[in-house]
Amino acid sequence: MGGGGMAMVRRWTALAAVAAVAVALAQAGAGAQAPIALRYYYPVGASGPLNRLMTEMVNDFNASHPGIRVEPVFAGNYVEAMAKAMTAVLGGTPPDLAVLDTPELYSLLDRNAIIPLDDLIAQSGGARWLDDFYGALLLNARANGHVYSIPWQRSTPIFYYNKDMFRKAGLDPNRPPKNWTELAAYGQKLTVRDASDRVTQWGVEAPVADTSPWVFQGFLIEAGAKYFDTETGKWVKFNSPEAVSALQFILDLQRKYKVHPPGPTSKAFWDQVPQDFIQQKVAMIYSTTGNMTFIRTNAKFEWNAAFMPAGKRYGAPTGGGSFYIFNKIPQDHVQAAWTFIRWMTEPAQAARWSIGSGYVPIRKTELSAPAFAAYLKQVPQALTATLQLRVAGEQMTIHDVDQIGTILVTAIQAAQSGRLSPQAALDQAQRDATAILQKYQ
Amino acid sequence: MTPRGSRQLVTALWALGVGAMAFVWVFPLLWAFSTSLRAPGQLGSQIASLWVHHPTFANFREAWSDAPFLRLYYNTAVVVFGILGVQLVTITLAAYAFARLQFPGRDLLFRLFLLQLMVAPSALILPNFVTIRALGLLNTRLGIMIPYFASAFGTFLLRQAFRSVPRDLEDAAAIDGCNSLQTIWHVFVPLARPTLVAFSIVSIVYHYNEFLWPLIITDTERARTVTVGLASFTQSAESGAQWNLIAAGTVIVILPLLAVFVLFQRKFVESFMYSGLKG
Repeated sequence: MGGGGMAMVRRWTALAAVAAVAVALAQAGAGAQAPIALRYYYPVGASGPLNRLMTEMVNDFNASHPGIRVEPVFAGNYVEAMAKAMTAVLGGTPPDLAVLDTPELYSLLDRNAIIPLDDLIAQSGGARWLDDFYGALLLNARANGHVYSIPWQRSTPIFYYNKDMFRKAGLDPNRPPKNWTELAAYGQKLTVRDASDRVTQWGVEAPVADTSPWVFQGFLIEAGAKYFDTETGKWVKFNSPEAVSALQFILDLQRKYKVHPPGPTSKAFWDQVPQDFIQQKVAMIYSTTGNMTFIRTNAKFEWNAAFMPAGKRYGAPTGGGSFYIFNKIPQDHVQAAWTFIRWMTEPAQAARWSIGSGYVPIRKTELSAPAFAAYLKQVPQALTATLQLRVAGEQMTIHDVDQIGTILVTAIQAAQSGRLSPQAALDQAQRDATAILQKYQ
Repeated sequence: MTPRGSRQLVTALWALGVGAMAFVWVFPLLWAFSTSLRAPGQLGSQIASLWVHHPTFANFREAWSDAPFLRLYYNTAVVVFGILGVQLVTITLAAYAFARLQFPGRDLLFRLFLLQLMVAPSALILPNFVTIRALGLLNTRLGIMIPYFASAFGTFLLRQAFRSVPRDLEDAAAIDGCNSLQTIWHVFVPLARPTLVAFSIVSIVYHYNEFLWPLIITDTERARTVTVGLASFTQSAESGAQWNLIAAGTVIVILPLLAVFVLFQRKFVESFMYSGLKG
């Protein structure tokens, strides 16, 4: 029903566009030309009507660019989108551009799937244009001296806390814990036990390992661990004293201070943490900026967002997807894809996406876009995430990143369950990861 | 206690056990229904309860508008029944050949056929993609269907059923002047009906639920199926899961399948009871 009609309308719209361009070109004395059709894969990583918002934005782009017709293709979550893109590449029909999980950079390079964007960036104002993006978001866009992706839907884990509970525990609600020592001390004040010593309110919940070791990377950065090769993505260092101290701190929260629920953290725990927060079962949580809208609409108490408490330094990884342009597509498609990326990342458009989705602003001028300024008045906590980007580190971006991420997750969980000591677990992870990375040396 | 009393006790305990198990099985379904009726704000501690105080259809309105579900239902129906229709023909003929025809290399061929069961479907995505592309069938319903037209599982299942059909019945059919196709139609198919129904259920459920292959082979709603539509607004990796919206989407997607099951439940069960002849 609707689909057929829609396709018909679209076909007529396309035809009308072709006719319009043809007339325009004929008047200009040039030959008629069909618009350049771009296949654009995008994943959806958050719940809600993002599919609809993306389609609206692409339609707006198409309406304002008669020479280009972007066809938006929903491609599942990040893993499925990557599978779809790689199947298309290996099958000889690459999409023109795609938003993919940013750390997939080396997996894409290993299959010769994407092109460097340096020349296109140079055309668009070079460093001056690129420097408007937050530096932390570009850290894992770079490899071998080239820029391969442009930030789009990016997130970062931040620290949320319940101000009412702070007051009740005699803590200053405007002074969140600044470092790990304070976090443990606050946690002890905020953990509430009933007469039979059962915990009715936890101090803190940190989903350090879900399907990936995302939040744990924040602790690694804070501990000062250099845990992977940021230049060429060929090695990892999971068992340094710094990395062990990060894992030991997590275990201390669980066992020594008893302010964090015991046992291994998992994907289920990741989903549960924001629920526990709004149900006031926990005072402080680590969660993605993507949860801010959810918390804002569901929390029946005063809350705030803060930087993740520092170890040796402040730190957080970044996450989320970036634009990639594919290899082996015609040159005019490359240019058209670049026009599209530039349009989407313009401050006004990027702000539209950040506000609609809850992703962090990707560039500095986005903050002064009228829509975003209004949003910040409504949700001042959104600024915290942006400020934390200044101290954020690089998200692990290496060859075979998914497989090695799983190895690190297994190690964290083994230590949390008490099966291995932190040192033994991370030694094991180091051995397994090194064996996989052997083939890239 | 009298034997009679103890028998009643056993029956009561049995009923209790079975009832408890049935509840465990049906709980996720009940929870999906009740959560889908929960107002968007009501995601606090009551989320685990089956009771909803102020039921609302708001989630259904939002979920329904997030994907063109009528179009997606239609595509799913075409794909699921299209695959099943072709499969029933191919597996019946193949099973008859493997069960009854004598030809050199038959058993070797059958074993090769069974190897297909050992290959994970996800490993075949790329080769199948290349084939579908060569056929010019990317982004079509036929492209989703073709790789499943032959089924090793169905062939195996049906061959076993056909082998248990007594030779006498086949001979009688031959005496009555039936050729091979007529024998299959009048003797083998009726006797293998429970197997065919069982296979049909497995096939329908599998292809109704399938997600990755349709997602990869199609680009637009013209050919996409309901599972792909559901996935477009129920992701939660980078945000909180909106369980009431996810539940509403899930109910929208499973409702047709559920309706079919409820309508034909008696028939399904009957076909299993009707056990045919044993050879």
